[in-house]
Amino acid sequence: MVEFAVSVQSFRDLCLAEEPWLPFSRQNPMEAELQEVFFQEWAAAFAKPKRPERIYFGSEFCQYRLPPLSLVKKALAYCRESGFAFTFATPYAHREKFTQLVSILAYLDGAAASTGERVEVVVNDWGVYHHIQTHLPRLDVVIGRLLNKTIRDPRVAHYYANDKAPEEGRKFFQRTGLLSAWFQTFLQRGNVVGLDFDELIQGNEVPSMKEWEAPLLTSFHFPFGCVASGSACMVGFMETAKAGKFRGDPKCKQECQRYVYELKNRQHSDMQTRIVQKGTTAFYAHTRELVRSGLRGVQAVERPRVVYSPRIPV
Amino acid sequence: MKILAPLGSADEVEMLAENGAEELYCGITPMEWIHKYSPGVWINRRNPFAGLPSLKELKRAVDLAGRYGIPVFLTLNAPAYVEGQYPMLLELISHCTDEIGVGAFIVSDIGLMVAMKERCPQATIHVSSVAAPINPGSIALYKQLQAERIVLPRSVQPSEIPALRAAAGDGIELEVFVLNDGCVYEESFCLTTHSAGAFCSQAQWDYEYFPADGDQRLSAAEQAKLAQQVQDYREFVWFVNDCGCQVAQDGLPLGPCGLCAIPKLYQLGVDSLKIVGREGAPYRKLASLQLVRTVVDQVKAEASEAAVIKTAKKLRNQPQFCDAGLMCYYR
Repeated sequence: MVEFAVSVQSFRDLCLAEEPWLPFSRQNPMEAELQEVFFQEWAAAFAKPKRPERIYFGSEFCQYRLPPLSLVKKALAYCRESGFAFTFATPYAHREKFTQLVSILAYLDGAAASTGERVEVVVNDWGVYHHIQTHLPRLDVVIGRLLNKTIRDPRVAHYYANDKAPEEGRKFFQRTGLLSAWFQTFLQRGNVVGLDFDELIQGNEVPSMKEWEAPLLTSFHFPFGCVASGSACMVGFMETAKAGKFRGDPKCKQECQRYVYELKNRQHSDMQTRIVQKGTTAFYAHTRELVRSGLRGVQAVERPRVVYSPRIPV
Repeated sequence: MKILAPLGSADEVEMLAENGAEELYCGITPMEWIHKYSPGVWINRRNPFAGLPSLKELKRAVDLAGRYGIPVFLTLNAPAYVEGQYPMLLELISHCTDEIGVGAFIVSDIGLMVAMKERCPQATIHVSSVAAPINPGSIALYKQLQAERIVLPRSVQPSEIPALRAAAGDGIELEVFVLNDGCVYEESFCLTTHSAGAFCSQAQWDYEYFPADGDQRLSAAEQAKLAQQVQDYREFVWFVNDCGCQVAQDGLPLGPCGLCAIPKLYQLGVDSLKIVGREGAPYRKLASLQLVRTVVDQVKAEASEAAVIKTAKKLRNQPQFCDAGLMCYYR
């Protein structure tokens, strides 16, 4: 049975989880096109759309999109009242935002203690992972897609999607290092309950997880995959002199929620996916074929989860 | 505070040692690796042909450096390794430690760190910046994994270092970048391969803006600002990519620079300054080293911060680039 989750990065978008297949007013044309593709392919794979069981709340890709604790509380309450399981998605964080993030996680750990229900957290920073492992035993950890370091370069990934690629090279591009025996030794010391994957252009090869007492949740994100993320925001500091631009901004005005760039490549004419940059992060948009093969592949893993993002996810 | 210089050949050891390098680092990709995985699968963050060509050459480099009392570190900092690669990696680490005398391995994959401590406990781990040691939590983790040095990514600013130093304690050295080659994204979270050239390289992209929300329209003023932002971004990327991979007319390397921050980094107790560019030409390495050496010597002679910055800018001899502000690692 595939668990279905919707990922939203803003409190105002929580309502999209109710019926994520419906068009909504804020949707931009790329999001509208991918929504249609995704739910057509979902219908082909699973018959009819279903209400999501879970909401991922929070940005995985920018520390300056970390919500204040008050909004995390509201999001958690919304999920509980509306019958959604709650997952808090977190970004990588430098010192200052790490401190803020840690206080949110402490609240969630306390909330788990008071209700007896564990809270799931997606981590994209090994420092956050270590903090949870050391101090917050009631949080369940999902290793985020930024820590699941397969190559996701849309300029070359499709060369590794077929049998013409060197076999060992192809396997390298399709497999995750997180499931090497040595990495599993490390992960088994923590409260890890799942791994997040981007749906890869070259295909994912997910081995069985016999080493684990309970099989890990294996989540696949649609319809945007991360290419690269960083501290330099492409649209931040727009009102600032040039010398001060393209770095982290503690006083961020969230320009990424207003402007997006599409990147069009002049050199790689056979590139198969569209690329967008939203704030700090570049994404590839899934093609119909990628969605189709991804939803097919999901059904072959032991504890699958599909995570759908209605918005370009920053 | 030591200077860590890049090494592309054993023949460069003498040049670098005689000009003030106190530590060296290099890469190596065994032919067996290339044959098995193809040149598209990198064992470290540089292409297979940017490193030393053989273990024999590595041994020669380590021996030559040893005569100067200089340790040589080896990069094994691919973002991740998969199961089948471990036997070859662990054999390489054992051989390089026991037979060749490599001083440390610059590693980013946690699985490999765990394997090293289990199978080759005598090998020393330096945590690569690719492992994103950017906050006290990650420093604490790498300390637990028995790292002896941590390389802070370029995005970590001097103001953040005291907290990281406190988390590291006295037993762990901190290394920072000081010259050459930037990264537009956070190096740990760029999931691309440079085998197709840097993804961020501006020459390959056109940028077309659109409103994030479909029910919004952009005003003419906003459109003008977005167009200007693209121009500024192109300039930023140009600086990060070594000013279009150029060398200045006086032969000095162009590109990202932390020379003016050295006084601050010294005060903060940074243990090592890394010069990037092991794949570069020998003259680029030499010129980079001489730039850094001159500034570090002035700092150690207790010159004022203002005097050091003045010297650094004079040495760089590119006032228009320094004034642009986008060439600085630390700003």
